Amino acid sequence: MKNIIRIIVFTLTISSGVAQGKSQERGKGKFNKEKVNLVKNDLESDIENNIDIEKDKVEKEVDKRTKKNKSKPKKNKGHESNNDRFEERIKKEKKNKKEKSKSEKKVKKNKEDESEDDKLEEKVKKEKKNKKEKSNKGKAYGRDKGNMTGKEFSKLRISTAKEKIEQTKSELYQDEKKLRQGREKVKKAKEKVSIERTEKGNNDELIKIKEEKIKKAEEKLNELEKLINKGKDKIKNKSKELEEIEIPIK
Amino acid sequence: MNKLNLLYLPFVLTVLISCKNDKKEQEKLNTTLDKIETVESEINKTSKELNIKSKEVETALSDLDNI
Repeated sequence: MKNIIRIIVFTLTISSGVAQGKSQERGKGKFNKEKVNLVKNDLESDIENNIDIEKDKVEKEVDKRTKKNKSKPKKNKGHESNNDRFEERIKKEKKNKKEKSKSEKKVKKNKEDESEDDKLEEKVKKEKKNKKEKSNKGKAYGRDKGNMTGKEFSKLRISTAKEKIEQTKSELYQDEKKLRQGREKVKKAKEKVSIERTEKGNNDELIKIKEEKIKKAEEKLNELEKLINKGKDKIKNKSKELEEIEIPIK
Repeated sequence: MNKLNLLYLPFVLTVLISCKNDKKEQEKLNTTLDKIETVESEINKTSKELNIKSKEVETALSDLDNI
């Protein structure tokens, strides 16, 4: 029975893999078609530009000839009829030019619209790709697990959190040192000021300023002490919480 | 036909059970990660507060040097 189930599962996985491969190939085919269309458009635009350049050359030559004919004196009626025909040709060519320029403008507008559409399509494709990449990063939403399993990832996160706790512990230890040193400094300052007071009296302004400074320092030290105690309690609680966290099986 | 149905049934059941287990594990992972993140954020907060306060104390003590 187990073997049969295994065979079925195996065939299903293979079929799903093949289907995914086919879908990717289809996507590639679409991309190639788009590329071909882009190349076609480029070639058409190049050809049109070349045609325009050649037309300009021809027109210039025609203008030169007409000027020469006008400058020359009219000798025969036959010549006049040739000139008329030539002028008619020039007029026809000018009309054709105008029509072509109009059509070219229309084509350019269409191309611009198409290029804008292409850009929008590319943007949409990029957004879809980004979404796919994000979705492939794992089950933990918004967290980059890489190639790790849930168990490994959660273990790693717990270890980093523990490291942070250790860091804050060391910071707390340093702050405690600072607090002790500060208390000693305040003690010494108080002694100094009391001696000065006995020598100079209570009314000295300098002594008052010094006492205010000592008070401020004491207040700050008390605040630091409170924070240190709070931090110690927090670290105890949080380290307990970390130990109690259940790591997923997989 | 009945035999075929009997063959498919366990397969479907296994698929369903595995899907359910996956969902449960996913939820578990998310909850554990949330807990870890909250712990980390609170520790960061306390360390920041401590740093600020220790700097304030340093400045107050440096004023005492001139006494």
